[in-house]
Amino acid sequence: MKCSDVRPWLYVSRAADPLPGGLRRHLRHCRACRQRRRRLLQLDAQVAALPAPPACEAARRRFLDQLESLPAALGTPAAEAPLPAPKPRRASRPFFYWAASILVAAGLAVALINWLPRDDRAPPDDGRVAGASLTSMDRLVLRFVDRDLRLADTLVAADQMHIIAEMADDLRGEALRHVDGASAESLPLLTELYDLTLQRGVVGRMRSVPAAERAELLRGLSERLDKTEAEVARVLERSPEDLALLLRPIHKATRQARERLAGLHLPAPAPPLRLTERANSRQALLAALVLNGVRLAEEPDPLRRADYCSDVADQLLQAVFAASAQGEREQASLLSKRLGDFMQRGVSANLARVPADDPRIADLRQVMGRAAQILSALDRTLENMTAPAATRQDTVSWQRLKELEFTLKDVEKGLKKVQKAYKDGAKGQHKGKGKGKSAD
Amino acid sequence: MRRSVEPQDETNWIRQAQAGDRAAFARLVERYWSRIFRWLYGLAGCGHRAEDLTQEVFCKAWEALGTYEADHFRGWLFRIARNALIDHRRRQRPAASGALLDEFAAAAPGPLDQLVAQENEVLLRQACRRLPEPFREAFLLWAQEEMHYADMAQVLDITEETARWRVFKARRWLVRCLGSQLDSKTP
Repeated sequence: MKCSDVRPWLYVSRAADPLPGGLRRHLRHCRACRQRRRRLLQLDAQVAALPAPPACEAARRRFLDQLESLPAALGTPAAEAPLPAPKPRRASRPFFYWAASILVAAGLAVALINWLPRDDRAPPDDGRVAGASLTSMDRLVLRFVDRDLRLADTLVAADQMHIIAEMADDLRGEALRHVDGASAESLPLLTELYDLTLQRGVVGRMRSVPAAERAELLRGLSERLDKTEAEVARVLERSPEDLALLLRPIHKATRQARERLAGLHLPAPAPPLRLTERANSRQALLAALVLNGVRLAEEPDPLRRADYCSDVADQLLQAVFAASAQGEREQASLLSKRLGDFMQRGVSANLARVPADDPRIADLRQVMGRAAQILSALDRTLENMTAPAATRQDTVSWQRLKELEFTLKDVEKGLKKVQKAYKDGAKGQHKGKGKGKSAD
Repeated sequence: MRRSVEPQDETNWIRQAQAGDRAAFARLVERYWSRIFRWLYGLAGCGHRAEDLTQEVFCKAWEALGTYEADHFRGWLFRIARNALIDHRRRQRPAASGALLDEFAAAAPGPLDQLVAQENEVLLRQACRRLPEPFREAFLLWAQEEMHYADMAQVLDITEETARWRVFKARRWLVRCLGSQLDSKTP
């Protein structure tokens, strides 16, 4: 086990968590990891031991004294005494590591959503059911963003296979819902994506699953495909011919995948998938997410994975702008949250995994450059928007403006660090040492 | 220390409080006051503000206790605390003190830090305050509340993976920032 394998475990585990065998062995021999673990445990202990300020106790006593005078509000219906509903998150402040400078794009996107002109009287989700304004396609897109994020996190083939099988199930379920609702609009796209997910994401990836895990995985998948085939066949029987025609490819793809898995007719690896330039609709965004999910599963190289994720981040950003422009605030807010996650877990985390001596300086610069382009697009948009809005006198807008100014300063700092990293990288390349990025 | 209360006791107190028993609610206040206060203090960076907010949290909890049905009282309470903090920041007038000003103020030791007068503790508090808030709120729940990622996700309205990621980044940054200072035994 290498230090780089051990570190992620150390950072997310507690003192009481049992140490896996390999990790214990590594710690026995690696002084640096032992020290890191000791410091992490000290950190937790010291923060846990930080005392509350002395005023805390006095305040508690005062509250308890007043408790008798509080009006009884028990059994009050939720509508009369609502719990504070979850509020849209504020712009997060970025890290100060150079590689993480690109994260500001995410923070900025959230800030932008908060800044976009809107009615300030009440937050959109107060008193409403969360997700009430979303269409089933909106929800489907959000679920696929979450799955792409999970695929950006993992390199374990069996985990990837489960996530992709979930994707296929979801696409098939959505297609069947369309048939039940007599809607043919998105059916061709859903069937095509289902076919690709199954043939390439599931059957095509089976080769990469270790032999020891393959048998059990195959059994589960076969059962799943059997059920799907039967279910789709039932729906086909009762569907009008025009819809049945559109649904039949799903039935065929399921049968083919089942037969290929049963006979272990596993295809050879295919060239990487490419996304379209821009997703101009929810359907196009869904297609981009599905393709990206499959190619993330296929790609072990962290630099390429970061690049793929920046593709999707770019498309999500466009979707956030489009949703905001159309007044779909809930969707815009939810997408911007995911965009933040994508920049962190997809782009930045994968860049952090690129070895420090990776010689692909040009590729690294390209990925960082794309992240900078996202920033630049946001920056221009903000410049256009802040001038008229600054004349507004209400305090809410003033505060947002200050937040945006603050965030933009961080963007500049982040960009400077990125530029410095470029220069360092270029120097390293010139000297033939190929030092592309720092350890983080 | 806080683990001395049996979960069964807490469930009984909640049930009794829901039936109108103020003494039972007082026990819940005793149990959670300093924990909520400490978390809000870590996020707001100001004792007075944390005090006002903690009071608001328990008032809201008392009002809404009749609607509480889940079995994660702690998570429910911390979620109210988080929403109270967000509401508070929305209401703030910029001339008085904005979240932005708080952040700047947090960079220098405040009067409370001077009172505490322990260098390591001050450094530790300062380092925590320099964490971006999304990471700080997750990390403080992790370290001070020993909260699981699933509960944290519920409180912070994020996914479990994101909660894990934030704790990861916060701890990594803090260890780097504090370095050998963490090798000493006292905070």
